[in-house]
Amino acid sequence: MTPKTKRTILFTVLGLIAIGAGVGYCLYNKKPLNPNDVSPDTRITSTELYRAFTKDTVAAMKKFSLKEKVVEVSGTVSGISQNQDKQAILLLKTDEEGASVNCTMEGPAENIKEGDNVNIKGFCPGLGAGDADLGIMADVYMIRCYLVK
Amino acid sequence: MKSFLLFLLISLASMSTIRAQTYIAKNGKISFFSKTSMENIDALNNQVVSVMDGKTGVMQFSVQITGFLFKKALMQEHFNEKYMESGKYPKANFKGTIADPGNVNFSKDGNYAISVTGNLTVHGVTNKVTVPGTISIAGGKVNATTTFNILVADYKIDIPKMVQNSISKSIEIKVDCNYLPK
Repeated sequence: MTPKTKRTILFTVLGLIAIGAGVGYCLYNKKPLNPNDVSPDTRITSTELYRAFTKDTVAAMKKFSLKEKVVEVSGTVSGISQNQDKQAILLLKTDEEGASVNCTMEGPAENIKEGDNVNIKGFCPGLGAGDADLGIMADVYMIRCYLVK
Repeated sequence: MKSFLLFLLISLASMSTIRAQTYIAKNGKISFFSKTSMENIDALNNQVVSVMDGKTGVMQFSVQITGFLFKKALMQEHFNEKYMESGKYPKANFKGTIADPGNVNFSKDGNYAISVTGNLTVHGVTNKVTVPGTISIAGGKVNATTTFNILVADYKIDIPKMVQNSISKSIEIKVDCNYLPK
């Protein structure tokens, strides 16, 4: 093997190692998917989403919650508040009294009022806890939400 | 007639007092922090559901594991799929009782130190824990906070050897809930 061939092999191996390290570094530091940047996997109304979770939570988790699935939910705003991180919380009506699709907004929501019909895109971690004895209905949660214009 | 109206008013007043003894939070905050020499990892979830009975001192918390947000996608994926198995164990729960609920005066502003003992269920494993906390009352608003540590091994969460130096064996957990009377 000539010295030139040896050098070529050495540089090729070093180059491949550098590319591998670069790809690994980028993958390791990749930020979580922003739901605002992609098309939704599912479009559904707030009532249908709530029914899906109360009917079969395990099946609904598989369909809407796992593996970063982006859900677009449409519904009527029945309540607006703020969490400790000053993010807007929009409650969307369902057909169950006291139960909502509870959306934590990552995008702006200043102009939204109660009674507005909205489309919201985000991730759906699933059905929260409720307490039947106390009459507290569970909400279905949406996080990292953005208004769809 | 006059005495009937008085009775009605007293009854209504006592009913509202009874109602106000239950407080609920549907968007409480929980975060955890793992610190090692290799790497610090933190995650946040703003969807804690909590119910507190001001009379009996019973406190319940529930959080969806898939709602924890990380700064890095790979950490979030490994947390859900490898460590916490969130498809199998979608929620973490705590139900406990304040040691001396009579010490907390929900009608008087102030910060009340509490100790809560109960069962914490994470990754399908339940352990009895006692955690310190503070209930703050300000202008009728009720807030509860706590900071405590849990051991990963106590909840049978398997950390692969390859990343054992990057994840602390003891995880610090902070909870912060604003309550509304039911």
